[in-house]
Amino acid sequence: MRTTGIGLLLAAMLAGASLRAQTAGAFVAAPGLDLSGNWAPIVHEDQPERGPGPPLVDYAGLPITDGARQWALSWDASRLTLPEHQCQVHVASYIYRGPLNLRIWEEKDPQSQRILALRQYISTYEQNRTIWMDGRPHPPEGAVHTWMGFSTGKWEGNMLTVYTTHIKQGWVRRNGLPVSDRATLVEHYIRHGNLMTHVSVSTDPVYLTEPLIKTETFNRIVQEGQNWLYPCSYVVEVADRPRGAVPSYMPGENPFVTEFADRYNLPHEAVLGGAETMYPEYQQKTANAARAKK
Amino acid sequence: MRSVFLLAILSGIVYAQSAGAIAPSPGVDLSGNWAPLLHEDFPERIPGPELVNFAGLPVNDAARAFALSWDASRLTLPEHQCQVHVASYIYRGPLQLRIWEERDPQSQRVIAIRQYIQNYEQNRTIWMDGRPHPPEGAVHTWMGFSTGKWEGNILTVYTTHMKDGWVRRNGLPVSDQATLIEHFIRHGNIFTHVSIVTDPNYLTEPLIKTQDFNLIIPEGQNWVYPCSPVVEIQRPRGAVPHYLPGENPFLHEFADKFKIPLEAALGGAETMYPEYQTKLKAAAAKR
Repeated sequence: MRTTGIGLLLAAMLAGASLRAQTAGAFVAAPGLDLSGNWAPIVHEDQPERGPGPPLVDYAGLPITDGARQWALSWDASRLTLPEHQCQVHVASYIYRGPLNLRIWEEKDPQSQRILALRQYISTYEQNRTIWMDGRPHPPEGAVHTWMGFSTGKWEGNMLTVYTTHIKQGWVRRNGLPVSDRATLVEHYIRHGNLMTHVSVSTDPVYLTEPLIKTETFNRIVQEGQNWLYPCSYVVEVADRPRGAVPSYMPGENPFVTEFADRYNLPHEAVLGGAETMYPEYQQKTANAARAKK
Repeated sequence: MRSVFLLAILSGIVYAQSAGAIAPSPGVDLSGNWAPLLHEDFPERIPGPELVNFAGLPVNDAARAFALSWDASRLTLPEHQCQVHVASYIYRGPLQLRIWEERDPQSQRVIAIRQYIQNYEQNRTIWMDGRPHPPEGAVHTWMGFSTGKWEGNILTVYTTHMKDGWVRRNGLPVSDQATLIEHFIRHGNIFTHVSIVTDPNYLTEPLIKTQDFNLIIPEGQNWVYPCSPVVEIQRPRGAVPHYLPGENPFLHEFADKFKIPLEAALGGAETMYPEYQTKLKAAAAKR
C-alpha cells in the first residue's frame, strides 16, 4: 500500500510541480517511525517480580551500593500502608515494569508536521509523560523534580532514544531498594511491527555502582469500550498507629534478612545484591563456594 | 487485561489503590495513520472525472447549470489554486490521514477526536464532549464544525458550517448550507468511511459515498501539502474563465465517448439507481 501510495504521489508531484501551484501532496523526510497507539505489556520477562512482587530482602542481580542496601534493610513493607505512601507513584525508571497500559501519541507542529513531543499516558498512577523532540535543553539542576522527570528524545535510525533527568526519589525494586533523585535514565524504544521493546538504563551516583539495564516488551492493542484509570485515594489502613510513626527496622533488626535466601538455599551475600551478582560468572562463584563448604 | 481487572476488584476493598481499573467507555480506538485504498471509484479519484460527467449524482437543475458554466481553467486562477476540498469531499483524494484522541488527563474521557488530513494540510476536530453546534451565522470553514457520538463501535459524526465546495471536481457544487453525516467503521487494520451529504441548494437527495483506509506505520516521513498561488496564465485583471448558458463546448464529449444518452451524463437522482440502467436499455431498444 505504501509503495503504491508513494508512487502515485511522487508521479503526481513530478507531473504537477513545475507548472502548478500545488502538488498532490509531498512526503518530507523526517527521522524515526510512528510509535503512537495503545500498548499493553507482555509480562513474561521477570513476571514474579512484576506481578506478585519481589520477596523481601531479595536484592540479587542489582548493582546497588552499601547505602542502598542499608536503606532497604531498614524498609518495612508496612510503610506502604501510610497515607503518605499509599498513592506514591512509580518513577519513570521503574513504572514500565508494572501492569500498566501505555498510550503514546505525537504532538506535531500543525504547519510543518514536525514532531514537537511524544506524549505518553501510563495507566499506572495515571501518569502523563512528555518526551520533548524539539531540541530544547534540560532545565537547570535546581529545577523541580517529578515522578516522570524531564525527558528529551532523539531518533537513532528507527530507535527512539530518550534521556531523562529531574526524577523524584523512587525505587529500583519495590521491596525497598531506593533510587535517588540524582538518577538519570536513558531509554530506547524499538518497534518491531506490533511489538515494542523498551530498554531502560538507569544511572544513579547515590545508590547504584553501575548502570542498571532492563527491558520490557509491549504489544499493540486496539482499545475498545474502555478507559484506563487508576483510582487512588488515601485511607487509614492501620487505625492504631501513633501519629507520625513510620514503620521501619533499626540496623540489624530486619526479621526477614535471611527469609528469601533460606527459602531458595542461596548464600546470604548473594541475596544482598551488588554489581557482582548481576553477571553470569557469579553463579559459578556461588557454586564453587557451595562445593568448597561441602 | 482481565487479570488487572481482577486485581482491581480484589484490592479495592482494603487498600487505597488498585492495580488499575478499566472504566467503561464507548467506542473503539481509531487513532493511527491511515492511507486510502483507492479501488473504489478510482478513475474519478485519481485521474479525475470527465468534463460534464454528472451521472450518478442527485444534483438539481441549479447545480447542473452551475457546473455547465464551470470552465476547468478556473483552477488556474490564483484564488482557486489552493482551494481546499471541503470535508464532504476531501476523503476521496489521495490523502493520508492521521487520527488521534484528545483525552481529559484526569478522567481519560475522549474530549475530541483530531484528524490531520494531508491533502491541503487540514486539521479537523470532532468534538466528543456533547457541545452544541454554533449558531447558524457562525463562521464556515473547509472542515466545518463537527460533533461525534458512538453508535456501538461506529463513530457517527455530524458536520455543519462548511464552506462552499463541490460534490465532484468537474464543477458540480455543494453549498455552504450542506450538512454531512459520517460513519467511521473499523475492521482491524481497515476502516470504512461512509459519508452522507445533504444539501438543500444543490442536491435533491442525500449523496452517500464510502471510502476504505488501511492502517500504516509511517517511517521517516512527514506528510505535507505545499501550495503557494502563482500566476499560471497572464489574464486581464478580474477575468474568470466560464461558459455562458448553452456555450459549454464539452457538453457532449463524455456522453459521446462512452455512447450514453446526454440526459444520463447530466445526472440527477434517477441516475443513481440500478433501475436507470434498465430504463436506458429500454429506450435504446425502442430507438
